[in-house]
Amino acid sequence: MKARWDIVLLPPLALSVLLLLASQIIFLKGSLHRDLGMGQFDPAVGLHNFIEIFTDSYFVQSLGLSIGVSAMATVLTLLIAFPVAYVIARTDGRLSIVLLSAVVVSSFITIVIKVLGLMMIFSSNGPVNGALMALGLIERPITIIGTLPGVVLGLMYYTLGFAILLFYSVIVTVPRSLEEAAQVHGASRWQVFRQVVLPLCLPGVAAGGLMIFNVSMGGFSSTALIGAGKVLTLPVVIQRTVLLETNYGLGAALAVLLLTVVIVINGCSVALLARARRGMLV
Amino acid sequence: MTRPPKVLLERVERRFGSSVALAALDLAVEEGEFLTLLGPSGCGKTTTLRIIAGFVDPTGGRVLIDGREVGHLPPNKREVGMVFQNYALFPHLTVAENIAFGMKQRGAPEAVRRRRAGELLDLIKMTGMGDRHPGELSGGQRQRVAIARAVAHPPAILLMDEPLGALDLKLREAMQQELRAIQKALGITTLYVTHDQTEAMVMSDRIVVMQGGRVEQIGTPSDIYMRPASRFVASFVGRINFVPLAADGRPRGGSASPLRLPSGVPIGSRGLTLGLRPEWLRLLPDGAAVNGYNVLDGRVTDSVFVGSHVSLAVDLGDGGTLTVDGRPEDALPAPGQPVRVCWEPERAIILHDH
Ligand SMILES: Nc1ncnc2c1ncn2[C@@H]1O[C@H](COP(=O)(O)OP(=O)(O)OP(=O)(O)O)[C@@H](O)[C@H]1O
Ligand SMILES: [Mg+2]
Repeated sequence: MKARWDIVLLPPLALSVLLLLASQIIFLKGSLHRDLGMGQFDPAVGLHNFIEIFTDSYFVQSLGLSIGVSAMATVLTLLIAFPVAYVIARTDGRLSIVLLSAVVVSSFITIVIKVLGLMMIFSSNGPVNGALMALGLIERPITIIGTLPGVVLGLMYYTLGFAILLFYSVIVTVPRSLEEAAQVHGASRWQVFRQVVLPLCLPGVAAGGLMIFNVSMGGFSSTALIGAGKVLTLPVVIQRTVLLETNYGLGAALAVLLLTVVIVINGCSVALLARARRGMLV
Repeated sequence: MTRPPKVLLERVERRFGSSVALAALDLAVEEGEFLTLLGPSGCGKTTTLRIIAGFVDPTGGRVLIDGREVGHLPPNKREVGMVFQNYALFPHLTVAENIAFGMKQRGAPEAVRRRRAGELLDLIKMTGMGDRHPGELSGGQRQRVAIARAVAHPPAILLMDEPLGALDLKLREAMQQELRAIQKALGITTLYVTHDQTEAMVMSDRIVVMQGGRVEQIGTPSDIYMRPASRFVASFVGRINFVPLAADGRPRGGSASPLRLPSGVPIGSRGLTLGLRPEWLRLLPDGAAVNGYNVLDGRVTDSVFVGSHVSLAVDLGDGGTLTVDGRPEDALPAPGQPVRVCWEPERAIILHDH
C-alpha cells in the first residue's frame, strides 16, 4: 500500500483555511453594520457602508487609483523581471547561483528598509538627481515622495525580487535545446524569444503577473511611506478609516471591496487565459 | 574529387579550461555523403557537431561550409539542419508548424510552407498527421518529425547527434533503414554521431573513428573493419583477437612455429601484432593438419551460445586467449577439450607496434 504522506498536510491546511476564512468572515460581518463610533456597532444589518462607498467619489477614485497603480507596477515589473530572470536562468554554472542568491537575499530585506534606501537614492542631493543635473537633463531635483511614479516604483521594488524568482523557475522548465533547435533552424535571438520562449512561458508569466498585481493591490507600507499622505490607494484609505477615523464598519466594507475586486479581476483573467489556451490548442 | 567539400574543418581545436576536447581536427564532409563520427564517450563528437552548428566557438582553426568561412556567423545564418537526441520539438506548435519552422523564419509564404510540410509528411509516412501536437506522437514519430523539420528548408548539411539513442532496439533498427532512405531520397549531406558501431556500419558511406579529440581513421565501413589503422580502431569496431609476433614470426611467449603473414608484409625487426576477427578462425580436432593455414594449439575454456554463433574461448597455454566463433549446427568441442585454431594467412590485420 502506498504511504499517505499527504495526510501530514491536513492539519496545517485546516488551520490556514480556518484563519483565512475566520478573518474574512469577521470583516464581512463588520461591513454590514453601521459604525456608531467608540467601537460600537449598530445591531441592524444593512448595506449603509457600501452605499456610502459607492456614493462618495473619494472611495471610488481611491479604488481606481489602486487598480491603475497596481497595473502599472505589474506591467513594469514584468518587463524588468522576465529578461533578468531569463539571463540568470541561461547563465552557466556558479555565476547563475550567485545572481540568484543575490535576488533571494535582497527579497528578505524588509520593504521599509528598501523604501528608505529608495528615498535616499532619489533624495534631492542623492546620486540620481546629482547625475541627472550634472548631465543637464533636469534643472531642479525631482522627487518621488508623494508622487504616483514614486508609489509605482515602491511597489515594483516590493515585488521585483519575488517576480524574478518566479520567472526563473518558469524559464528553467523550457529546455535549452528548444532554443537551440529554433536558432539552428533560422530564428534570430528575437524570433527565438518571441516564438519559443515567450509562448512556452506564457502560463507562468500570466500567473506571475496576477500574483504581482495582487500583491501590489494590497501593498501598504511602501505606498504609505512614499505616498506621504498624497497618494491615497485603497489600503492607505482603509488604514486611515480604521485608525484615524476609527470607523470600523466602513473600514471593513472597504476591505471587503478590495478583496472582491481582486477576486473578480483574478477570476476574469484566469477565464480569459483558459480560453486563449484552448484557442491555441484547437 | 574536384568539387570542394560541403563542410571542411581545418585544424579545429577546442579547449575547455585546461582540458582539450578537440585537438587540431581535420575533417572534410563531401557533398551528398553520409558521414558518421564514431567514438567512445567524451571523444569530442558532440563538440564537433556543435562547432559546425555554431553553438560552440572553436579555440583554434577554421570551419568552412560550401567553401565559405562561417566562424563569425551565428547558428541561424549557417544553413545547417540539426536533429537533437531528445527531439527538441516545439510542444506549442503542431507537427506541420514544427516542420515548417525554419521556412517561416526565412520568410517563406504560408502556401509554400503548407505544401512542403505535406510533402515531407508523406516522405516520413505521417500523411495527415500535420495538425497533431508533438505530445500526441510516439517516440519514433517524433524522431521522424524532427528529421523533417531539419531538412525542410534544405540545409547545406544535416547534423544528427545520436538521434536514435532514446529508441528501443527494434524501433532503432527500423529507423536506421528509414533515416538512410530519407537521406538518400533527398541527397542531403549528413554528418551523423553515434557511439554504436553497428549503427555506424549499417548507415554510413564513410566513418570517422575518433578518440580523445583526434581522428583515428577515416574510411568506408569495410575499410574500418577489414583494415583498421590502429589497435584502438581494431578493438573499438567489432571484436578482435590480438596475437603479438616476435621478429622471427613466432607468437611471443609461446612455443608455436612461425606463422605465415599475408603476402607482401615484411615482419620487421621489432615484430608486429596480428589482428584476427573471431569469425575468421576455425576449429580443428586435436592433431589434424591443414595445408596452407596458420595453426595454433589450445584448449577450450568456455563456450557461450549467442544465437547467430557460439563464442568459444581458447586458451593458448602461453598466457594468450583467442575468441573463436563456431557455427551452432556444428559439433563443437566442450570446455576442457584440446583443439587447434586455424585461419587463412591472408585473413589477418597487420598492426605495427609503435
Ligand atoms: N561545456 C563544457 N565544459 C567543459 N567541458 C566540456 C564541455 N563540453 C564538453 N566538454 C568536454 O569535452 C570532451 C568532449 O565532449 P563531447 O560532448 O564532445 O563528447 P562526445 O564524444 O559527444 O561524448 P558522448 O558520446 O558521451 O556524447 C569531454 O571530455 C567533455 O567533458
Ligand atoms: Mg555527445
